[in-house]
Amino acid sequence: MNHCRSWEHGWSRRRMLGAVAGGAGVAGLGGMLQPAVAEEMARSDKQILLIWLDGGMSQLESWDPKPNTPFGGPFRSIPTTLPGIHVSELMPKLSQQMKRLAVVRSMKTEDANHSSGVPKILRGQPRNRGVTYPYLGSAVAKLMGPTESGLPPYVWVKPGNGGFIAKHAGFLGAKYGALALGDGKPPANLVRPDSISSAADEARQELRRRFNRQFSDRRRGNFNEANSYVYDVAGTLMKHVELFDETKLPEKDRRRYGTHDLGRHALLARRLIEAGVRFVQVTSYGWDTHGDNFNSHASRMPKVDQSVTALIEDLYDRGLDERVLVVMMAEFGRTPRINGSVGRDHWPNAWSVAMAGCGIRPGTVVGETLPDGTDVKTTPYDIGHMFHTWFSAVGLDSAEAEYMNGTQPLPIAHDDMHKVDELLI
Amino acid sequence: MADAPKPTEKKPPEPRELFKLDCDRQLMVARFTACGRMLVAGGYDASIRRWDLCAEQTVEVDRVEGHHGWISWLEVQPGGDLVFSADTWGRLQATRGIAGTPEIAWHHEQAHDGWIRSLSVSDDGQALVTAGRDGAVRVWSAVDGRLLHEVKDHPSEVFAVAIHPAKQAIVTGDLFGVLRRFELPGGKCVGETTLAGMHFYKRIQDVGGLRLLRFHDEGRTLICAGGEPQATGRAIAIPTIHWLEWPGCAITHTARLGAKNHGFVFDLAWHPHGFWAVVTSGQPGSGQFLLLKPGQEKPFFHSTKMSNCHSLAVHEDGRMVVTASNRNSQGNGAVRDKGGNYVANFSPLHVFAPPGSEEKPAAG
Repeated sequence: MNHCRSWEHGWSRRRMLGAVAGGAGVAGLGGMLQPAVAEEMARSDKQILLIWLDGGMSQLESWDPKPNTPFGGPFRSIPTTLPGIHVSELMPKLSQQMKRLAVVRSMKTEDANHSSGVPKILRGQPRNRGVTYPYLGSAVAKLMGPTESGLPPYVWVKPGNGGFIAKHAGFLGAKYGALALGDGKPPANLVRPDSISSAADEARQELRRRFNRQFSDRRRGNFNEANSYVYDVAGTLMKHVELFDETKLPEKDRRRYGTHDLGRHALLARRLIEAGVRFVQVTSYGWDTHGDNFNSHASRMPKVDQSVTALIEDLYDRGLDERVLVVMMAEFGRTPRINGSVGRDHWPNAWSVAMAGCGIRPGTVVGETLPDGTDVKTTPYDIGHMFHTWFSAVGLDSAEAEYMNGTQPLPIAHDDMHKVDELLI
Repeated sequence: MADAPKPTEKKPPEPRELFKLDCDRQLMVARFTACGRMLVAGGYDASIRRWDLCAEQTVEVDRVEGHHGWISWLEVQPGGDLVFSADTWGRLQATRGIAGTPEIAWHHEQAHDGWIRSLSVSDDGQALVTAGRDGAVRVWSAVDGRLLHEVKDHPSEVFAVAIHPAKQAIVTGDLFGVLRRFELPGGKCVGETTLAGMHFYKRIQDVGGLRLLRFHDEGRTLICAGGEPQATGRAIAIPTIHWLEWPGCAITHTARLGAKNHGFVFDLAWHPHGFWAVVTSGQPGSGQFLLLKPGQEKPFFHSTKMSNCHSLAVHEDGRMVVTASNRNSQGNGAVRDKGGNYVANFSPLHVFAPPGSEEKPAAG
């Protein structure tokens, strides 16, 4: 491969630049954080790993089983390492990790549609202030910045195509978008070809920087910042190409995580976290089980069980649990009612979120649903409560910290909601 | 010269719905008892439901309890008095006197570790075979529940199982569309055939298409039914039936009974009038009730009036019962009934007279 032809490929640094530049133009001066907060957070070594089960995992086939009830489905529940707490039999490995996990069984959110629900949940659905809020990964990228590693602060490991997803950043500006690694692969043409020496490459970069400076003199700073950023990202990634070389991974690790997409991507996520990426999101698609829900979960859940358990075990074995927050969720749960296609539909009324690691009280189950699972029985929690909780878990006071969108101060999480103390250490 | 008049195409006779029975829960399977006096069914409430067909008006009588989770399969003993039922928690049960005062003849609380996927009874009614999510395939004595044979460590998850009429072989169909033949006794695998198209993998989900196995024609034909999956998530498929010659397992005939966005053949039965009765279920409204003559690819009768048909059985007098799901059962959000209750879906049972029958519709 050759740098000079990078635009011919599906995903390249040049394409990433285009995405960032376009977004930056729209973003204007948005997203300035209060300086004192920014300085403090930049020194933090806390990281977040989000496992996103896109489409909506069934709470009844996972964290909140209701066996032998009208809507309970065919599966049994099994005891966990937490006395009195049961989970679905589809999670035998995670059941043994319950003492390390915290589960909220009383999630109650508003949106039952994928297209609007996904962004609402990933933005923490703050009060409408006429701006587009960032996704959690972009928020963390802004609020905490890169770690000392210098690696891009928001990396999204996903099936399918990669790219630079500027729109996740909302008003913060394109720079805080997601670097998406399609199928866990690095951007094309990442490695400097042998035909270009290190010195020649550096000379090219210097020339680019000079042009960039001239360019920026005539444009707004944010725009130029975004332009430069992608080159910095690419340069940093070039120093970590080994992250993407699966052939050097121990076979034992690959077996433990699983050779399926979720296993490979979760293993890459662990390695990205170890390398110092501030926020990693792993996405698994296809959870919209309107038909054949139970066979679907029978096929899918063991893969989640395997890969997430391996991840939790590794974080604890390596002492990373003290600085890495792990969250597993979707945009909603699934209906108690089983439809005629033996499926479950969308259900934001009573669902579950799981978390572990940094700042989270291990072995905690918060909230309860009715015996038939049709509603929340205890205090309901919305995604805004979770955002407050997760920010707090990584050391950010979400009641005090604000974004500055130009001269407009904006809360970083829903200002009518609060952290859930039961979940926090 | 004027065109010769076209011969009038005679529309084949159709089955007529005689009556409909209500069931307040969803059903997985329904069968007529061997004596013909009772309709029995099992489903999401873990009880065996019974309807007395000999009463002046068909009425539901007391349920038989004892199961857990869902009743995943139910079969009657050919020429006998037993009804065999299996559930998703691993219980296998034989119930005697189902048409009168039922009593449990024998049961195994953990015949399998978890979901019993499939159950099949030998033609002589003396043995039954079960397959579970635990990867085990077991042959039981129908009379007393003794374990007769076992295939341990089946290499994959079994979705369907059948026992040959000669009881010298069993056949399994797995999640990946692979058909395996095992000899009895011993349980040695003596052959594998992959049914192309009956498996789909994407986005960490395997969708199995081989869901039903039946021997026919005194064991000379093996029927493999289910679907050719097209997607994960909604798990849509082309409802498909393959007829295979036994024991070679070469496909002799295939019928694809729907579009790519339909679902699976859930049940089928041979009708003594010389046709196959088939039900399919899939996406909302794609449920079908089909009658198909041997060797043909298109059904001579096709009804989509019933939503999501899950089971079908043929009475010795030729009547057929189809279990469906109530319409308007799909949907996101907390749709409630007029009383404000969040209710479960249910399965109406539609009883049909065979095509050409003079039998008049009657009240259920």
